[in-house]
Amino acid sequence: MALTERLHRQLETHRKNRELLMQAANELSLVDQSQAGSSFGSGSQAGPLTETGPQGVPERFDLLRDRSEAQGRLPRSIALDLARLRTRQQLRSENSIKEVAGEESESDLGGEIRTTAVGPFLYLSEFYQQSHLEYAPEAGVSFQRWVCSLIKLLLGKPIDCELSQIGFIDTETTGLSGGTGAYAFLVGIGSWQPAGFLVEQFFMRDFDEEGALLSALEERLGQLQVLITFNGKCFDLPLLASRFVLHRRSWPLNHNTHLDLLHPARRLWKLRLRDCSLGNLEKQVLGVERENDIPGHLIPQVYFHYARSGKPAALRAVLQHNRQDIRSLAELTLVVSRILLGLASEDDLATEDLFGAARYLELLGQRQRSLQFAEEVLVRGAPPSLKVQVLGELAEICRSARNYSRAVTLWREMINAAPTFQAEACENLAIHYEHRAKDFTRAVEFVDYAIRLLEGQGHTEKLDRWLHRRARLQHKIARTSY
Amino acid sequence: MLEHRLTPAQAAQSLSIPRIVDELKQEQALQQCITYVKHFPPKEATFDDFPEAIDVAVRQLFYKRGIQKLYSHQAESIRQTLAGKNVVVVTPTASGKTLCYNVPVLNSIFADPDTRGLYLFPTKALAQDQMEELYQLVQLSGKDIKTFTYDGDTPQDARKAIRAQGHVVVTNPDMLHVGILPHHTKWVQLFENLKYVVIDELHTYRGVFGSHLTNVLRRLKRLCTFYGSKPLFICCSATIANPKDLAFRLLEDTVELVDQNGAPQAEKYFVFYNPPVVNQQLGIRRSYVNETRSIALHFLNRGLQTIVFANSRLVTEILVTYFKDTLEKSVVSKDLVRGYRGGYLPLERREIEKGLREGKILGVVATNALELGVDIGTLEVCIMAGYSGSIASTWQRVGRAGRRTGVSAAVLVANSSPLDQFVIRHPEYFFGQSPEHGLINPNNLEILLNHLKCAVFELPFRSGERFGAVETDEIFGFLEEQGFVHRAGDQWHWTSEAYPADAVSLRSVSSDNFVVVDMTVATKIISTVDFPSALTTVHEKAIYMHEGTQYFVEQLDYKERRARVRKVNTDYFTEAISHTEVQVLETFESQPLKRSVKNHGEIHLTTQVVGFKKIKFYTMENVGAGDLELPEQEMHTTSYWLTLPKTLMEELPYPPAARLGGVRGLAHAMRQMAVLFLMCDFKDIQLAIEDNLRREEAEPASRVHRAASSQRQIIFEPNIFIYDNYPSGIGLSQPLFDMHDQVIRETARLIQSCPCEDGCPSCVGPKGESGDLSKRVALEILTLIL
Repeated sequence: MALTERLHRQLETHRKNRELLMQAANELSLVDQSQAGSSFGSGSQAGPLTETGPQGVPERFDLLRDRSEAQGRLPRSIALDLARLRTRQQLRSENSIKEVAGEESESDLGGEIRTTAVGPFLYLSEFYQQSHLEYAPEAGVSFQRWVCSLIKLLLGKPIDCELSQIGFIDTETTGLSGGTGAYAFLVGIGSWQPAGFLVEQFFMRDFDEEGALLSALEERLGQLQVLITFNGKCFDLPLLASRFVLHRRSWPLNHNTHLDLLHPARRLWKLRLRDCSLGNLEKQVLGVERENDIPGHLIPQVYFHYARSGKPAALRAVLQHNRQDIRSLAELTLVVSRILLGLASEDDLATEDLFGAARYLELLGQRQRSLQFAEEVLVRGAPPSLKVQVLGELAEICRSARNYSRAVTLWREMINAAPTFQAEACENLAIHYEHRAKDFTRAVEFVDYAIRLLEGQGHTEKLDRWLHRRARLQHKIARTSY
Repeated sequence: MLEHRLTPAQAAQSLSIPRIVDELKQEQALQQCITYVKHFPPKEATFDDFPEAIDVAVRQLFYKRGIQKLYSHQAESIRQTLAGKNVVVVTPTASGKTLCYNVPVLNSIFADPDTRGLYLFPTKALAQDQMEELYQLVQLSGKDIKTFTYDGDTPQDARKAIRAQGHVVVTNPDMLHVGILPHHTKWVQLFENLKYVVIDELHTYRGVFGSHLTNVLRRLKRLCTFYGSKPLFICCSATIANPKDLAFRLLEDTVELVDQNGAPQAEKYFVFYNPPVVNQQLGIRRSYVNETRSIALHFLNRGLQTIVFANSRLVTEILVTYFKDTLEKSVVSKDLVRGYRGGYLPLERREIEKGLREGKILGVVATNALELGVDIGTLEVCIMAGYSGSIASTWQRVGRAGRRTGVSAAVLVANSSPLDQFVIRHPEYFFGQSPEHGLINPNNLEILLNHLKCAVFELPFRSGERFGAVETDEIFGFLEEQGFVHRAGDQWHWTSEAYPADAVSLRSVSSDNFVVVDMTVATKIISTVDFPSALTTVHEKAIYMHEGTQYFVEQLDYKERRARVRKVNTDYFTEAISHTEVQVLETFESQPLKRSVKNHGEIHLTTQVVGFKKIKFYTMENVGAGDLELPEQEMHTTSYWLTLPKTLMEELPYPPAARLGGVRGLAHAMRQMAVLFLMCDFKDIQLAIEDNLRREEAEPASRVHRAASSQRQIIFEPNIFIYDNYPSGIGLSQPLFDMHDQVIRETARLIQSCPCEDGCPSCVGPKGESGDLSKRVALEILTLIL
């Protein structure tokens, strides 16, 4: 038997198999539909989205189609079951189709079709005169200075470029799991132009426009000196690089400076916000409220639906989503600059953010400003949850800076402020008085204090080193008193 | 690789091995048990020069390793490779196969440092081992050649460097499938410059694993074409019947066969040992595990380095305990005997391998984990506790003893399974038969669909593009209906968020499985069970065995794919009772024979686990039973079947129940022979018996009713189905159809020559199961159809 023929027949069997499985699953109510496929090892990739909204529609169509095709060849009893099932399915599918059809209205996506040597793609652009930070063209120069200084601070690399050569990049993709099967179907680039903030979008209307998209992107990226992304280091840029390889194009970004804002953002806001996704930062830090935004995890399915049906309704939300991400990214860059470069008024910052900035600046070697921020946190009266931590870290900074008297004050304050025993502060003080101040009697006081508390708490296993320390100190005291 | 002079110690041993064999032969108690002793005289090596084209620097490298000349098969293989041919080298264990690929690969890297090579080994341990050997060669050369293993254990931060710089990347098919191919854009240097792909232990790629590998190689070749390279393949295999054919099917390209072994072979004795019968009626023999113990001690007590192979992890552990009890009496002799199996940590394995090479470890008890080419040096004796199931792997095991010089011995101790009993009683079959065939079916639809998903994920398909020999448009049409792909212009693109390789395991057809969770102390996952076996092994109230520990299954959560178990200590185990219905969908071929008809085709199976039995350890008494209500399982697969016509059945002068028992017994024995000749795993094929005529009569009855009544019904025209136990089949049915005559003939021989009276586990199955007359009826049927 010819291979093709045999495969054809097997495919039919396979369809039937899926039917049987669906049927069994439905009847036993053991698994829901999206899982039914997976027990067969083939249908599982539909993902968690199958049960929500319009995404299930194509799959449901399949069911219908498979059923009508398979019916003629199935044993009678199964055919009867199928008929029963079909009515149920049909009702459900029809409802879903109506839902989707209600959303759809025939209109295009806007933008212009641009033609490259390898075909057409869709180019969209939008100017924003006003930003949430009250963008004004004359302020442009200082933006440029800020960004360059920020890069110098964060990457330790001096940079000098035009404001318009700084690009903010964000991509929308068909998958998050990595590998060569994930496409960047939309690439947005934001930049400050004399007329305002420009967002350009490179969009493939179908998969065969990817070559053109990349070709135009290559040219546009070539004009940029600095790229700013959010998680671009691990996600957007490697994915784009992979797409360039797949089209055998050389990677245009080898000589650019790249700043990934994810890590600075985490350092600054993790304490207060925990969730440091761009969406949450936008809401909590920039105060932007999005309306009718599409949740990120639905985006691939929306694109697949668009590529198959050509219906743009849901896709417009994706384009809007991408533009908003880029605007927020630009604004967030300015906020980060202002904080780290000391341009922001400290009063504007939440105490946690101030402390985050202090720690980050210490890490970046900006000790002076770090101290300043940390002291400010104390002046304001840190929230109880933070206070001990702030004191401890500030004391650590002071000790590194050899400002011992300040460190001693802070350690003492720590012991007073904390509801629990601060073994570390106690030990630091004991060490300080024993080795630096040579005030053994003082040192013994702290050691005794620690021993008392530990005994009280029943932590006898930790006692040894303290007892040892006390013995040594008493020996020293005895020696000096002679 | 050259002949060593014998050390005095070795000379002493070479004397003692023939003496021990003689001793065994003469010992009164054992006389009956030794069914055969085969003596292999030593064989001289055949040498050849390095081919002209090999760079002097490369030759000098091997001179430094003490290799002045090549064995003839090495030279021949290298010549074929240099001539631009794919090659498969088939020679016994320890004949220096690695040289066949290391020489040409190093030679071309010396000539052009951009050259890349990819080595595939079936296991991580082997990859590690070969990496070491290659690394030492490279060190010796002083050149900047980078060799790396790349597998699940490779640290993330090392991966980038390997991708960019590795001249030779040593990995396994699973990693290639899931970690390399889907990320090929990060491996541009490798794919652009890939000149050689080495596939060692080719014979392990049969059945499901091999069917997957063909598809992985199709994907690899697609990507190479994309990046403009066309690698040659160098394959090495243990001796199997169809190496060239298997290589051709895996590579889908012409392959040159090199099978004239030029390596020397040591003198060897091969002893067949069948434990004595202790109960003639029931056909019960003395425990093969205990017999293995006492035979091995004959050799171990004389200080001969011995490897004992067991077929399960449990038996391995039992034997290690036995030997330790007997041999390790003092601190000095501690760790004289070690176990070696999957599940041991890599470091421990390395330590054991080293101990064996250096002679510090006297004995090792291993599973097939040591069957493949891990270097453990030369051992003197190999003892096999039970037949491994295939001729090829038996020779692999035997090859572990006496790798180069000196005299060595191998002993096969049979257990009471029909397979073992057949082999042990027919040594001429074992020595005369060419080893088994490696069979694969890369176009099994389940497997093919999965790999097409991976392939289109990696690179869009042009309309009309083939995948291997397969036309893809219709299949992509199907995948489009499912929403996995989308056609734009003249290309198919992947349109799912998923990473398809994650959902495909190369070691099974479907990757759906159940986890077994031990709830005894804290919840802890102890193992996974694949979907088809879950219903029979982890149903509620079953006793699940793992690492020699018994667990009681408290709950089987079908939806969550989870079985909750608790440790128990019982004196019984459980066996599921399932009811299977077979429906023939299409007969591909049907051929009337003397008094029967053989067929193969596609069938639809409905299986339901309806209950279970409790069986007592050691006595194998049936001590209880239970009912179960589990969902029906359906499967389409391919099958061979034998039809015994109504007229033939009516001729048998026995009551209907006895006729049925005879058919059952016959089927039981046929399945064993089929496993033997197909070189497949026991679980790869399954048995079902259906009546041709009953269906028409019983049509209106419900399934449940039929299940209940089938026991009482008189079989008029039975079909014995031996089917591929995988959805869509893995290609075993047609070969089985073709070797029908041989299977029937050998089945008859097996039953005839079995010394039991009325049937035993070694032929038609235990007497209690198929009735007292089973053996006699089965033989009469065979006489009628032969």
